[in-house]
Amino acid sequence: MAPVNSLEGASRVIPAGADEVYCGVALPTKYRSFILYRGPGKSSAQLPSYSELEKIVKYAHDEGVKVIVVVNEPFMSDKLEKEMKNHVASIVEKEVDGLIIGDIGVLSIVKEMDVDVQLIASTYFVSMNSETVEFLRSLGFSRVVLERHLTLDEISEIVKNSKVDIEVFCYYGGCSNINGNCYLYHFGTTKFWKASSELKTGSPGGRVRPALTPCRFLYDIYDVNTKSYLGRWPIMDAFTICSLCHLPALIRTGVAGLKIVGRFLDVLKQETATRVIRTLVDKIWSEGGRLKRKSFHKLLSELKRDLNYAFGPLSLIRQEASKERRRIQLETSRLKNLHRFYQDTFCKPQRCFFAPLLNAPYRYEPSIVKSRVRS
Amino acid sequence: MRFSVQTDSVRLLKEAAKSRCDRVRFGPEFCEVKIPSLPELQKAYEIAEKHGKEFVYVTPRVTDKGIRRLKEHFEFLNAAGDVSVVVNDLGALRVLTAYPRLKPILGRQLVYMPARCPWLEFSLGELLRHPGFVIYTKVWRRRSEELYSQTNLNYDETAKFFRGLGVQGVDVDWIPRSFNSLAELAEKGFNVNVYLYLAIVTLTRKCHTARFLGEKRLEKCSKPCDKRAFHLKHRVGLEFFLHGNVVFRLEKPSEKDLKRLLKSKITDFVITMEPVMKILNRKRIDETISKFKSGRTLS
Repeated sequence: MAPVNSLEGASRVIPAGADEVYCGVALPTKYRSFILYRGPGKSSAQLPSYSELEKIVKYAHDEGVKVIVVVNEPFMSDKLEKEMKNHVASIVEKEVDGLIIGDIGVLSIVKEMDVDVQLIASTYFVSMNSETVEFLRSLGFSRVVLERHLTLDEISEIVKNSKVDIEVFCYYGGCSNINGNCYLYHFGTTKFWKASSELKTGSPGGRVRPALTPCRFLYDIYDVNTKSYLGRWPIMDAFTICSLCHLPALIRTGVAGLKIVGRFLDVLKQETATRVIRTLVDKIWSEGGRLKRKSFHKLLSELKRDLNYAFGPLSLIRQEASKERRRIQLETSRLKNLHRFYQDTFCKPQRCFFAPLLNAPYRYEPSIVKSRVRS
Repeated sequence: MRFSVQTDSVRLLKEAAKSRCDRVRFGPEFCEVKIPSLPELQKAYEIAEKHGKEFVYVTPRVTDKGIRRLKEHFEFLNAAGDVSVVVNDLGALRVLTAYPRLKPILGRQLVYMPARCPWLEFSLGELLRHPGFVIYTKVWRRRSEELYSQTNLNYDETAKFFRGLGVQGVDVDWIPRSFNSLAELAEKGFNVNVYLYLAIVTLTRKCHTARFLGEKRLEKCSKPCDKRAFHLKHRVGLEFFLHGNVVFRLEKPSEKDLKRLLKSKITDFVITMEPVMKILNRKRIDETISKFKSGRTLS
C-alpha cells in the first residue's frame, strides 16, 4: 500500500508495484490552517483538490489498483462536523475504494452517511491486541492498521486471532512514540523550526537535513531527585525507518497488507520504496519457504543502491532550496562512503521497525552526540 | 471535593490508604510490564478495604499477553465487589463489558485533548497573528481556540458511544485551557477526574527511561522509574518531565484556575504518587489535599 500526494506520484508508484495507493485531501475549511493531525508537511501530504483525487482514482482503477483515502482526524468536534460531512461526501463521490478512519466521531459521521466503501481503522486507534481488533470489527471496520510498536510475535498472534485483514507499517516513519497518544505536533512555527535546525539526523556526514520532529531533538537532561545534569541527549529518539531485513518474517505472520509511510515524500522516494518492497515481496513469495537468507540479502544489498540514491544526500541536493545547496554539496563532498549511506544511517544504528523494543539508536552514535554537544 | 491517590506499588498504596484521600487507585497507567500479579492485586484490594477506601483498578494499553492477565484480574475484582476500572485500551474496554459489576472509567489515553500539545499556546498565537488570518473575524478566532480546547468526548456521538459501553467516568489532565470543555463533560453526566498537575505529552513502548538507563529487555526491566524521573529542557523553552515511558509537561497550577474549575461540577481530583511531584508519602498527600481544599495549589 503506497502513499501518493499527486497524480504524478500515482503514475509512478502503480507501475512500481503498488496494489493499493492511499492519499489524503486537504479539508476545505478555515480550520485546515490548524493541523489536527500529526503528520509533517501538512500541505505536501495532501492532494490539493478533489479533482486531483478523481484523476488518481480513474488512473488507478484503469490499472486495477484500489484507492484509499485518509480521513483520520484524531478527534471530531461539532465545529468540524458539517465540513467533515461535505468532505466525506466529496471523497466518496469520486468512487474511492476505502476510507481510513481514526476516531469514533468520524466513524459515526461516515456510518450515518451510509456510504458504500471499505472502512479501515487507522493507527490512531492504537490497536495492540486481538480484542481491540475484534472491537473495531464489530464497529464495521474490515481492515485494521496495527500500532507500530509491536513485535513480530505480537503481530502474529493478532493475525491468528483476527477475522479482519491486518495491515502493518513496514517502511518509513516509524515513530518514537505511540502515534495515537503523541501530542508532539509537527507544527511549522518559528519556535519549532529554530529547535529543529540544531539537530542533523543520521550518520556523520550522512543525512544533513535538520530533524523535523521534536522527539528527535537534543534535550538537556537533569535527574529530578538529585537535580544533577546528565548531559544532552536525543533521549526520545527511537525513530525507526525500515523493516526490509524482517520482510520474510513479517510476511510469515500472515499480515494482509504492508503499508509504506510517506504521503509527504517526494515522488522518487515513494516510487523507490514501493519498487524495492514489491521486488522483495515477489522474491519471498516466489521462493516460498525455501528462500535462502544469503540470496535474500544479496538482493537486498543490490536494492539498497536505489535507496541510497532516493533517500541519501544526493536526493537532498535535488530538493533543497538553492541557498542551502552549496552547504549541502560541501557536506556531501566530505562523504567517504556515499554508497554506504543506507547502511550507516539506518541499519547500523538499528533504526529498524522490528528490532527489540529497547534498542536505542542513539546508543550507537555516542561520538556524534558528543561532537554535537561540543559544537 | 473528592481525592484519589494513584500508585502502582503496594508499598506506596499503604501510605496512600492511610492518608486523607477518599479513593485509592492501584495499577500502572502506562506500562504493561508493571501490571501487578494477581496476589499483588489481591493484597492491594485488601489494604484499601482495611482502611475503608474505595478501590479503583488502573490498567494501561496492553498487548494480547496483557489482556490475558487483565482477564484474570477482572475475574477477581468482579467477584470482590463493585469496583471501578480505568481502561486505557479499547480491547480492555471490550473485555471489561463482560463483567457487569465492574464500572469502566475512560483513561487519559482514550481521552483525546489537543491542548496537551506543549506549544499549542505559542502556535495558536502565532497562527492567529499571521497576515492570512487578519481577514477572519473575532468570532472565528474564538471558535478556533475553542476547537483546540475540546476533548474527543465533547462531540455528542463519541460521548454517546462510550456511555453506551457503560463508561461513567473519564480521566483528564489539568489543562486550564480545557476547563470549559471539561465542565461540559460533567454536564453530559460523566464523572470527570482531573489529574494534578502533570499533563501527558507523549508515551511509548520503546521506553525512553529504560533505554537511557541501559535496560536490555523490556520483559526483564528492573523498573527504574519507581524511583527515578528526568527533567528535560530544550534551549528554545521546552520543558518536559520523563517518567518511565511517558513524557509529561507541568501545567503550573494557579489559584485562579483552581477557583474556575471548582465553579464547575468537577469535584474529583487524582494525585499520582511519583518522583516528579515528589509525592511519595502520606504527609505529602495530606499536604496536597489540605492546600487544595483551602483554595491553594501545590507549589
